[in-house]
Amino acid sequence: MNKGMMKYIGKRLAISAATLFVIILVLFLMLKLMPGTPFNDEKLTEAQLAVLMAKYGLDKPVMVQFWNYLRNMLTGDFGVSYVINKNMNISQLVGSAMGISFRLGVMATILGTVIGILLGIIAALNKNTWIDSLSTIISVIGVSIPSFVFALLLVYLLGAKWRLFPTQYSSSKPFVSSIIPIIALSMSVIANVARFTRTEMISVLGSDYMILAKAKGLDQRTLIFKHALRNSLIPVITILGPIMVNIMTGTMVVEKICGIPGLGKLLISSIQQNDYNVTLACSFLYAVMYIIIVLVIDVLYGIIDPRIRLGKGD
Amino acid sequence: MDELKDIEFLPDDFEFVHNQDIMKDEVMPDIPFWLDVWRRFKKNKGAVIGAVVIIFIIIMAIFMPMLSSYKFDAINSSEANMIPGTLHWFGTDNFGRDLWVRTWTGTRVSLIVAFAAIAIDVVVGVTYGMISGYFGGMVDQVMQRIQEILNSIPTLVVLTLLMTVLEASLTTIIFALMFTEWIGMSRITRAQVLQIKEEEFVLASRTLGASSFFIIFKEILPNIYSQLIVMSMMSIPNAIFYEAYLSFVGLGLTVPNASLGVLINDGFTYFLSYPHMVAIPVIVLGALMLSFNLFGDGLRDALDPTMKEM
Amino acid sequence: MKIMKKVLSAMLCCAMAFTLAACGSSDDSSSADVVIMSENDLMSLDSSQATDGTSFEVISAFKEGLYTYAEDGTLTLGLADSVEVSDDQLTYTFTLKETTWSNGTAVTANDFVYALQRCINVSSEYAYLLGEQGVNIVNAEAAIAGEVDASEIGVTAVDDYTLVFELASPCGFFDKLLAFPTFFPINEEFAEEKGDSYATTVDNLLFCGAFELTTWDLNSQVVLTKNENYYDADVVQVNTVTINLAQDQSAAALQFDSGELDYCIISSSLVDSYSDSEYYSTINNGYLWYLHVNFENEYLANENIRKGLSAAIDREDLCDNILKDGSSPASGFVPAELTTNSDGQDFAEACGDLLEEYEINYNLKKAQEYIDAGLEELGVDSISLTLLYGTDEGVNDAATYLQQALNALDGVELELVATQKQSRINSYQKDGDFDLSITRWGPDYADSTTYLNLLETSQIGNNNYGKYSNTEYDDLMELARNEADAATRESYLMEANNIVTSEVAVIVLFEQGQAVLTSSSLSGLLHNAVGTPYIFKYVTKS
Repeated sequence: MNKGMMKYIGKRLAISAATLFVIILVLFLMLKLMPGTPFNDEKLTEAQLAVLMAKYGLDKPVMVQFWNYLRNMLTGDFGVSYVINKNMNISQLVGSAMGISFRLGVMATILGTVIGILLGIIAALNKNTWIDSLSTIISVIGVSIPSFVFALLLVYLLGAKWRLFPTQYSSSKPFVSSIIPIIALSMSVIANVARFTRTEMISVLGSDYMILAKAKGLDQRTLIFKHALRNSLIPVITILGPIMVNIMTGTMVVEKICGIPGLGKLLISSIQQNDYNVTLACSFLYAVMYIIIVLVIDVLYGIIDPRIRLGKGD
Repeated sequence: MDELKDIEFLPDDFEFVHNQDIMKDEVMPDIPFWLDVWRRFKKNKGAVIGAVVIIFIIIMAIFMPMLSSYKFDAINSSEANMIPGTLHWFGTDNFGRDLWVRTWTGTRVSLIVAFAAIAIDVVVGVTYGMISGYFGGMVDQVMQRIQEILNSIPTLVVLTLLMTVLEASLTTIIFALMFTEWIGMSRITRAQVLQIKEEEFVLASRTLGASSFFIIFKEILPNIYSQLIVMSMMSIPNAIFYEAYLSFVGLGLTVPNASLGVLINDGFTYFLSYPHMVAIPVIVLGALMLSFNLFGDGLRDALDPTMKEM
Repeated sequence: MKIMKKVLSAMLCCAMAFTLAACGSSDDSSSADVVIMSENDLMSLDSSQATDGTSFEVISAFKEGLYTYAEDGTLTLGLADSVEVSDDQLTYTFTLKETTWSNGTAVTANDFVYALQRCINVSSEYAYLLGEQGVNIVNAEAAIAGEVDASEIGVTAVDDYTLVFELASPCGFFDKLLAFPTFFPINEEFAEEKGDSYATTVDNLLFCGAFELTTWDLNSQVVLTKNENYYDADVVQVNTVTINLAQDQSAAALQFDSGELDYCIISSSLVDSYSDSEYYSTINNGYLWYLHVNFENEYLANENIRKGLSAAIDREDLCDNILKDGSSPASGFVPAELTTNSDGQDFAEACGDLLEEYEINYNLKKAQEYIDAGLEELGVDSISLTLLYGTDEGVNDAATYLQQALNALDGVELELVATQKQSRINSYQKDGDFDLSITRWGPDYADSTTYLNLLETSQIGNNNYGKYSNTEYDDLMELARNEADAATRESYLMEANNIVTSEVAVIVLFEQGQAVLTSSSLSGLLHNAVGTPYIFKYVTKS
């Protein structure tokens, strides 16, 4: 890794940190705008409410609360949940939810990328045949139809009709019960990757160096796997960033359908119940993941293809 | 040489040894830009099918609720949970409300949300992008940072938060969608502005004393509209999806209103007993999103054949 | 390229590790394992802070109070060995059984004292059960208000096994409350040592009940395993009870069909598919749904208008054709199966169908007459009202129905206002910014005052959101509070119920039911409409 790269990463990290700061501030203020307090029970008296607000420091001015939150956060203390799981440490609560969401997201990305690349290669090698058309149709459908529609379809067919897999996530059978959401989430990955791989592969296959390689008498297998595939896969990395971000948002809905106790479900219930700290932590995590993914993909791309001059593009 | 005088030359006395390309200055008939676009568009089968489906769905959404004798919110508990049949073409829901009418009313609402949101997006995004790109320097720096920060918060998080701070209604959904979707528009606009503002015709205009406002709106805007149209068409499925998402997680429209998301959410709870309740709105939603994508793709290729896929 | 390969292989390794781990943890089921479903999540395992049914269920399984439930659902002594009540019914002296916590320390009288003081110190929602609205322990009301220290309340440990309660006024339902988790013991030493992390994981808890909590996967499931050291361990017939948390009802029904679940709740959407099944039944889950009526609204202050609105609602149609979950039309402000009078008759039954009696049950013609009369009194042609409801409260169906039903009245225009439960209560209702508001109230203890207290003038600014006020009613409630004779007290309360129902202080809707599926091999699952929803101690599985 050269100096320029280090400098670039440093700059990006600085911007990311500033971005995250602003995000926390905006989220914090937004949450304070939300009606009510986390302590909604009709049975609480005013006096009790005041005690609770004081106990958690919610009676202080907003900026003081913000400062306290920020200070604690830097030491890794995200506070406790007020409602969802009373007094539970946020890191424990959000950590368990995030582990599940993250695992699903990664599995779906891996599955989708592998299948997508294969589909793309097959389509490119059989350009303009029915195989190609079929792959194009699959791609277009995969790109256009939201993952929750697939999830509903799979839950109905595989879960309810044919009873092949459990429809709902269960922590005692985490793998089998994740199959439906993983397939549903990977559909858009498959579609995007296949579409992109095909385009890249076709343009690589038609390039001068491929014609030269062919002229040298290399056999088909070496040609495709050693030369064509390598060069056409590099650009695929660029779209992995947006794809993973897409999956993250996709999980929010799929989590509801498949009853997965993930980050999205937690975020929604925390918002509905005014559990400030949980909402903050979840949103913050989403933003962090988003920023990291984009950053990693950018850097990875720079490493793989040094011709890309980082820092110039926007 | 005298005998040659008697020879009369006829047009077909000679023939070419082989077919030669002779430069003939043939003027192509003047085809208007839109006709040209239409010709290219017609060739794309997927796009045409997409357009037809969109038009069909729009027509159904406009007229079906008017023509039917049922009202979308009329409850009749004696006809609850009917499967599709001649009386109710799409069946009824648990209140005995006619799903044929509800589906098309819901589609109408979803389309209104999508179109309104995109229209506002275009206005906000284009204005933002043009100001940022045209003025450059500090203005650009600040505006870009703001945009970057907004863009780092996942759309669904922003939407979800907004929907809880504000009260659930049609306008809120449109507002929430507007809040997040304009960034793409503004990016494209800015990139185009950065490129176009260096062109000579802009320089000429400025030399002639045109104001910044004039240059932005009269010189630069017309040059990017085709990209904006394509971008809008591609954003509509997103808007439809986000509306459905909000309604699906229970943050969207309120009862008894219907949108595709609301119908999917309602139907979802019944999917074991009455799968048609969720299947129908899902199919309409899928068809709509698919068609807009196909249509957008075709439109992009037709408007600017040099634009590369992705 | 090399890096990419590494990244990919690392990713694949992760995936494989995950797959292997997943395979390893597959469950082995034996016949003595019961799996049931809960539609809600578990919110707190700290018995002094828990507020929701699922938490109460789990806590009641791994801890026990001075009283507990017998196999037939009646109350019997639990951790208490004997009790002596003074003649004025103000002093209760309990002698404890010699039992131990799961860490081997003895369950002592101090554990009970500590639990109740803790309940006040952490400002628990249920602290009010100790005060005037509940048991009325000496000094408890002042301690809740922060006027005296929690250690001043009238609960004392005379020695390790003798516990004394001093009450400020007699309480007819004290035994029922003592079987409620708020009154369960907490080991002081252990809880103080764990501090803020007490009850946040399985390891930070002590058990003294029929089961031990062995697994708690957040938002996913809890596993209760038989406690061999429990004093009544012979009665416990199953090895484990697994509760699937926050489970979707459709999914639960599928699991029930495939035999993975022994008991589940199904939504009205599934009732059609299962109502003929032998496993199907409905239970009363105790909630009363009603409409808060804002008396500051000039139209709603008119009694004829309120009567008209009430008479326009076909509660039977709503329950039988829309909700379909065993809900039944409400007959007054106190639901059925809440409490029995001293003569053994159900309180609500003794009151009779008050809606019928006061002609405010469904009769559209009558309703229109009321409305017309009301409009004339008000001197207006039509009124427009809003109906507030929370989209997250599972009440969308009822809201949809009400909107249609009330709009059927000429001269009434009803608009729905949707919000979330928390802002329904804390913004709209607290600020008086509503006309009608759909709300539900779950009984905390088995006495009619759990409902009737809500409409007292003194509750304005608290739970009396509609600002209903009637001195005759307030007087009756006050009389009842100070009455030691059960029958006289009941007559005051029945009269109070008559007043609020006849004046339509709130528009009562229905008593919520629940459709459930129980596998044929499961028996002994106790269900309570009031307090802890399910008791697992006597569950058997053949």
